[in-house]
Amino acid sequence: MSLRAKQVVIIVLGLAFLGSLLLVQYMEVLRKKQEGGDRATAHVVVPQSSQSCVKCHTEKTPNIVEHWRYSTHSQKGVGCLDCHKADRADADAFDHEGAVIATIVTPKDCSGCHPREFEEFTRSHHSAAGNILASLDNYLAETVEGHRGNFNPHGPTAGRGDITTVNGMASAASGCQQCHGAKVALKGKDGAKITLDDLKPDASGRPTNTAILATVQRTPEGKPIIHESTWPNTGIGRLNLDGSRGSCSACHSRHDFSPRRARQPENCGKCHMGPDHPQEEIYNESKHGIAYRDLVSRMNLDAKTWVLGQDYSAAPTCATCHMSGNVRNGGKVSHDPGERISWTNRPPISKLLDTDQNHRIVNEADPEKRKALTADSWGDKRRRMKDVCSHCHSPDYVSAFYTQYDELVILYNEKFGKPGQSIMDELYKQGLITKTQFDEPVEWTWFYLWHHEGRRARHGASMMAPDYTHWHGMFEVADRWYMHFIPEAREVVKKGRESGKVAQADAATAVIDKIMAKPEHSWFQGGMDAQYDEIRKQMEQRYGSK
Amino acid sequence: MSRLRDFFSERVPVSPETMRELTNEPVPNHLKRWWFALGGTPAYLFIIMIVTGILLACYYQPGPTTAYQSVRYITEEVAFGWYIRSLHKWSATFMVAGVILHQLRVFFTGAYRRPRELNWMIGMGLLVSTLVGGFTGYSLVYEQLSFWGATVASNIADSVPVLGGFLKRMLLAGESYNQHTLSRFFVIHAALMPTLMVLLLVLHIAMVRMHGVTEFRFPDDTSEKRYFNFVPDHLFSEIIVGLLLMIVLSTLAVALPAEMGPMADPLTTPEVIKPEWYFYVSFRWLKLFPATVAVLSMGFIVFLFFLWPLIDGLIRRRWPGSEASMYVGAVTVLTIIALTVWEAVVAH
Amino acid sequence: MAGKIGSEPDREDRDDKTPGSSAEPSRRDALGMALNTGVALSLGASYGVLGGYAVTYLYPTQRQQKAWLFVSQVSAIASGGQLKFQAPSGAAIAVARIAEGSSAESFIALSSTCPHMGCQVYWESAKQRFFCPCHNGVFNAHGEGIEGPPKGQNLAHYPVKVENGLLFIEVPTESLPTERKRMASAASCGCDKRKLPVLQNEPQCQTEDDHEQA
Repeated sequence: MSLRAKQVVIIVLGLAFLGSLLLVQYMEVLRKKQEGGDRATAHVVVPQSSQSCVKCHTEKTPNIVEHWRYSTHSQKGVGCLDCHKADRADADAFDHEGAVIATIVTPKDCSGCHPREFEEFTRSHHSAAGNILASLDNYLAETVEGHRGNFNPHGPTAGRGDITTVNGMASAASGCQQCHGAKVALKGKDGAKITLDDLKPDASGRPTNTAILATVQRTPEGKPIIHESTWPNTGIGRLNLDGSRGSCSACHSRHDFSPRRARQPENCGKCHMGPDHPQEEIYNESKHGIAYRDLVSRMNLDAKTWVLGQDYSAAPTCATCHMSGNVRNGGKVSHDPGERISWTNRPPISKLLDTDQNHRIVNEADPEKRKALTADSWGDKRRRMKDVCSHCHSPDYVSAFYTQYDELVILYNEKFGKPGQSIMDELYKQGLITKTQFDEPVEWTWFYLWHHEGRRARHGASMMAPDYTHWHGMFEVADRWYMHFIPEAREVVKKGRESGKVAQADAATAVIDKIMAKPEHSWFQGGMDAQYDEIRKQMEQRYGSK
Repeated sequence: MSRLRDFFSERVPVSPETMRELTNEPVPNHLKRWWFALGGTPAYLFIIMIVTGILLACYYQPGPTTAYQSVRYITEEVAFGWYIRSLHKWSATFMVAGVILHQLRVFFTGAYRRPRELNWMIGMGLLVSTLVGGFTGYSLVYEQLSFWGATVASNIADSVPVLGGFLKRMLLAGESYNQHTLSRFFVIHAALMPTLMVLLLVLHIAMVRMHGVTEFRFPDDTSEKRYFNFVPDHLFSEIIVGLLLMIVLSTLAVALPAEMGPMADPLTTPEVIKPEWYFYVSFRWLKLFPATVAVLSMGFIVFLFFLWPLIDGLIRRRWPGSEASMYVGAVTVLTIIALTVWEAVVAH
Repeated sequence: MAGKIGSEPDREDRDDKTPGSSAEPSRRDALGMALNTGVALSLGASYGVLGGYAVTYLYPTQRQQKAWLFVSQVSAIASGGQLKFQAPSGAAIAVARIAEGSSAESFIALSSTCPHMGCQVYWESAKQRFFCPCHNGVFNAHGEGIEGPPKGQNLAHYPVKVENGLLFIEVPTESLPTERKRMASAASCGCDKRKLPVLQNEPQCQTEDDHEQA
């Protein structure tokens, strides 16, 4: 090869080499872009104030440090002390390795940096979940299932000589309160519970009754002992020592404070499941849940903002419809899931959710007064939900769905809810059953009817789960009504009549008879035969005779 | 300008003529054929290895807790880190291949014969250093395969009778892989082997220059002159080879970049464990024979090849014109290829 | 093909292809010049770019060196008040609220490193000044050098920003890779946990039995 030719080859190859280097540059840019997303933010910074915490707890409780490393907090320099630091005047403050800290981090602590979330959450029904602690449901756990106070063991437990008393409140502590929230209590030296009622915290959360702090039991290191029956607890309506309500970790979990987790239906399913409000199961049955399970990889659950229609569109989760931002509402997240719920299906008779200035439900029946009291109507709430629906469904479709849903709720209300309630009211009023709850079969029956089956039907319809609406719902409501509730109510009346309460029995019978004579119940009282023939004729028309 | 030239020519008393003469080694015509340039290829790759190696050493931290993380840092975070590392890795592979091909050419053309026996031995030294460098470099990543590779190698050393235990402890800086092992490997890889190789290369090239390149006259070579100039003619050829190598290496770096395997776990040996391809032969050999036999026989074979010019000399003195080396070479190459392919196609 | 051991060959025996040794010198020269320039440019550009990559590789990555960190709630610093913030790198920073407003302009974050010789200044609250013990440098509360060698020089400012009532500062950090990265790189059994869909169960690592089969 001549020198000239070699030179030409060198020039050509040099350019080719340059080309391959440009390819390298392209790859470099591609790699940076590919990893840049999480790399830009995904670096843990241990703030100086928390470095010794991290160092020691990496040995002692390594995984909570790992959880924190995974959080957004760790990338923004929010360390252990930023949440756990306490004022020495706080009821549960203690000295720990040179810092004053508290064990329980309350929504008030979080509110320092997340005031809007705190405000929305505090006005939500979620934060009031602890109010159940003096309610009918809790009566079940504390009295029917357990006992208010301690009682003696039935007999010895082999291998455990120390079991000398039984805590009658155990079911409430491990059951009710783990969802609804405990009333957090410090343990007194005498074992007493010292709650916010005793501490009387001021607006800053510090106790005004400081005298009582002297009676708190402490470990040798000076750490106050939190009463075992109230902690550990991450119930969503927890009543904290500083007077704040709720627990952010109920949904966000410590110590990674994961928005990702709160976006997933399983998270809500910790509490919203089971025989009385199977929302998780209902969701799983619905097309929404099916789509989510299939498309979970496209849900973009790690997105910083998680705006429907912008960050993801594959499927809705609980959070999507009830809380998260969407394109139509400008991406506004709300920590008050009630803002988009138009019916409350919780009580025996569903109510429309008109709420007042203080976000409390308006019970006024008079239309004028009700309108005056209402600050945020059920229509407003439904409009917000329809905004979410409209990302996937046309307005006609959504309206028609709501018609179906309303009609199911109204059917339940009018055929079973309201009549059942009036029968029960009459039985109490006439003194045919005692004021004590759950001591007569009809009370259990009525409870099953509205609290379990009636809710299942309504919730099923609200979130598109046909089986929960029908077989787990209305079918069982009907069975309960015709085969148990009405017979038991009549039995109560009969027994009352036999015991001499004739006038009262007559009054109750009149109520029951009047209800059962109505067209929607008349099939049960006879006269169904004609209707049955009619049905058979229609069936034969539809499917042909046998 | 002329003052500057005077300044230097006074202090560096080498005339331009001498410089020209020194650099312009006459090159035999047969070197216009590309396969005779295989010695220059590893030399060029060696330079790439040195440059990229220095760059990598700027971020690499030997030590079981830091090695993997620092390699990960280079691969994932440093600008062009993946490219530098891939260049280093691919150059190593090519260098081993280049050295072997060069040696094959020398062997089958009989270029090692008198008076070049010593240069063959230096060449063998370069081959062994290249392999040691490849092996130690691979171990530095501290990923599963390289960790277990190093473990196996240390036990190979252990199977040498008498000296075995000593060798193993010297290699690992302890009874087993420990926190000092990687530093030792790093020093072998980044200091010892390069220095040794530079010394050997200088000797190797000096010997070539002293003896002159073995000349071949091909029947179809019709040119009147027997030689051509190193500068610029042969230099251009080398530049072309260099550019071709850079293009191939860059393309490979983009298409098949050096990745990160799982981090070394001293408690779990991976399902399938393989060394780099150039150790397939010895790896298969180890599976065929008991450890001590395998190790000793391998050592013996390498030793025979080291001495081959002398052995070949004896044979040719006894039977002049003997083609024995051709047969020995062919059998060896075929065996090596067979064992390598065998190892490559089976999982265990 | 027999090898011949050559002695040093004569110059005459060389195929001396030095440019310019044949006819048409002017055209040749022009072409030769162009080719030489082409070779130089081509090699210079390609190896130059490679060298540029090497420099980029060696130059420390700026990207991860700084981060916006949470300092405090704005309401927690009174106007005129200040607090000490320590960056993860250990650098001490004085964060002061110099005005009533709650925007970033109302805050100032001063480095405690003296611009003169790099010593650490400290705050003398009695005299409302920063003092550098190395060469008696004095700075006022705004970090302006008023006495001593650093007179006229200011203490470096760190950028601050206010978001949702929270004060953030941009400081150099010492950062660690996150869990995500570490998990991915430390996966030891060869099952890459990252790539599995969320709903799938824990990946099964290969067991002893699989080992037998393989």
